[in-house]
Amino acid sequence: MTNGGRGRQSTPLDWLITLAAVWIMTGLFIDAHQHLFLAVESFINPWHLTLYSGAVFAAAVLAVTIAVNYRRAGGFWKAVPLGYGQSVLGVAGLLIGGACDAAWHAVFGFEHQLDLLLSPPHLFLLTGLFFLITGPVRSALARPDAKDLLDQLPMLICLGLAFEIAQFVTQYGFYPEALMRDRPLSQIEFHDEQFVLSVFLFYRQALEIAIIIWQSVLLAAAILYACVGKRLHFGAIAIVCVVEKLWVGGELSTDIAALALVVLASLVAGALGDVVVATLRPSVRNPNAFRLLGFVVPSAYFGAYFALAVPMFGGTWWDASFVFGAIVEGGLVGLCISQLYLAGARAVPLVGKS
Amino acid sequence: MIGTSRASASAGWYDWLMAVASLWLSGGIMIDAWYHFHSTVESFFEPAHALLYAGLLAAYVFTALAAVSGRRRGYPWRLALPAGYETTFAGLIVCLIGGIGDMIKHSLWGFEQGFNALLSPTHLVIGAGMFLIIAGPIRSGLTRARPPATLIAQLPMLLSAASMMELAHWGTQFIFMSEAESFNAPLPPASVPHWTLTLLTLQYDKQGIGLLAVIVQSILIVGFVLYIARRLRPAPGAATVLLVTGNAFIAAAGSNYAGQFLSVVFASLVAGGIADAARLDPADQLSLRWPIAAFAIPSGYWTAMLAALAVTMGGIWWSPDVISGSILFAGLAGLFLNALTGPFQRAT
Repeated sequence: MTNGGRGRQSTPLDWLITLAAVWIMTGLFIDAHQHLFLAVESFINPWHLTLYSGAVFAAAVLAVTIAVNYRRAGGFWKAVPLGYGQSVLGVAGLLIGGACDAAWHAVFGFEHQLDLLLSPPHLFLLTGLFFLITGPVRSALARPDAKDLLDQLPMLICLGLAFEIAQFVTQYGFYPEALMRDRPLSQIEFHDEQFVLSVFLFYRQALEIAIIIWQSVLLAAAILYACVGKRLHFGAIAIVCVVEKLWVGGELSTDIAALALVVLASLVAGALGDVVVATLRPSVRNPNAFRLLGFVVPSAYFGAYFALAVPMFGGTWWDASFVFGAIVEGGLVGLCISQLYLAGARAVPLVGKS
Repeated sequence: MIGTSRASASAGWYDWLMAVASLWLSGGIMIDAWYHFHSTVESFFEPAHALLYAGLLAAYVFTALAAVSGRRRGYPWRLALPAGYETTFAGLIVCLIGGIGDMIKHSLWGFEQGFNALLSPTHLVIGAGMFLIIAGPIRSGLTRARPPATLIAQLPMLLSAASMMELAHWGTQFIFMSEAESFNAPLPPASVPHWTLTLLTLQYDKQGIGLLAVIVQSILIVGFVLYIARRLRPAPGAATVLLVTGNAFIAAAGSNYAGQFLSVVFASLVAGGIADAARLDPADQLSLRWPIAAFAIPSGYWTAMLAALAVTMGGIWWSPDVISGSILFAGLAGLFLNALTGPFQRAT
């Protein structure tokens, strides 16, 4: 494979695939938003077109790059730029997944609601998409550290978008329904419906705690992965935090304020994470700072979410145990994820210096 | 941090005693949970609480004995505990602080009900303290120049790790069982027309929780197996011991029928068997065995679980898409956890 001889800078290919990733993911999430909030009657609509044209663009960019390199490299795989081998497989996965999806629909019909997220051909397609858009991440990891934040942007955006794929297939595990406007009906006020309402409350609260855990896993995993892989410039953690939640937040929000709350909380958590990175230099060789980073970011996200909900939405209907418990639990989950990273990183010595 | 000159000679018997205390604690907390599920608990002074707190007391007593033993062999107090047990000592203090904080919180705001008990910050502090206490035998094994290699020698570590898993299950007990059994199926939304919206919402919540159970359990299972396997070479049977012990207590506490309990045990045996068959080697973490095992362990667990539930509980209500997708998704969750947290090679 070739690195194009471009040293430590992001290549034009990194930027083009990042553009394609943003393009595809925007189409995917707007399409999902339309399905959630509007009746979509036809396969031919602007959002499907956005989604699929982005995939065609990415495939074309890869094809042209390989064609240009082919004569000099002397073979197909040798012509694939460093880090993009799995992206090529990702494109193949999209084609195979598309064919499987058509066959699945022919046999089992079209999926509805949550079945749509768990249909094996859809998971296959999204896995292909994951490998396609993570090319800039692998490309950056294969190079020495970037000299500035701008140069790290393709890696950071694509890393965040890769986690957005996980957010997409688990979108029932994103929105915690904690705002005052989401409060369940009072069992005292609606006494006749008390049994039904108590069942509702049980399932809602169970789902909400599960959401805290899952969102903390994703957030901690994303920022710690970036931190293990590279020496990050100030602002990098904030970018990953925002990108990791912006698209799914946009899909599920019914108004701009709900999305703004997610973005602002992500910015606060990311800014705190950047301060930890800048001051303590967390890495696998500085494990306590690394653990602290794992704790601080998810904990700060939920802390900021509830604090900002007060002026923006009149607060939360959760009580003190739930609110402060969510903040502590988010941090503890992040701490556990950091331990897993440390276990893996310690077992095999790193190549090079952190 | 105090280094290598700790009283390591006394670690052998203390490792075993702390493994017993770990099981006692995790078993006690699950019996307490079962007691809360199946009877009205009116007072702090009831048998399950006594069992749980006796386990905690045992951890204090065993640690005191180890410290006294180290001191008698000439070590200063600060070095008297065997290497690796610094966290156990810290955990005992954290538990004490959490307990005092919990008492103050209860006197100010009363006792928590339902899910509030799981998310109460002071309970989480106590839980974090218990994690640190239980971590002792694991850290002790890992700090040795020659980590334990046989199943018997690894047992204290494995039982402690299994106890940690049980504690994690306690905190996430509402997403341990998938509720995929047919008798747990929500009523079809069209069955009661004036409740359609209610039933649709309930169906969404139940399916959402079931799927999050698949994801979170997959992460827990793979996370614990990978953590142990990356730090030492697991002896044959080690993963099976870890997963069966790590799931059995919560399964017993949360099951209403024998079929539910047996399904968890069967699935744990299958997943543990797959992990043991993979023969993961920490010295060769770039081998394909790791991603294959990380995929196969949770997908094997959920395949076995759903199959066993279907056989023993009269079928399951999940659709073919959800069944096949959740098995695939469990594997993908394991695969990505392995990829994210695996050894890193980076350019200089």
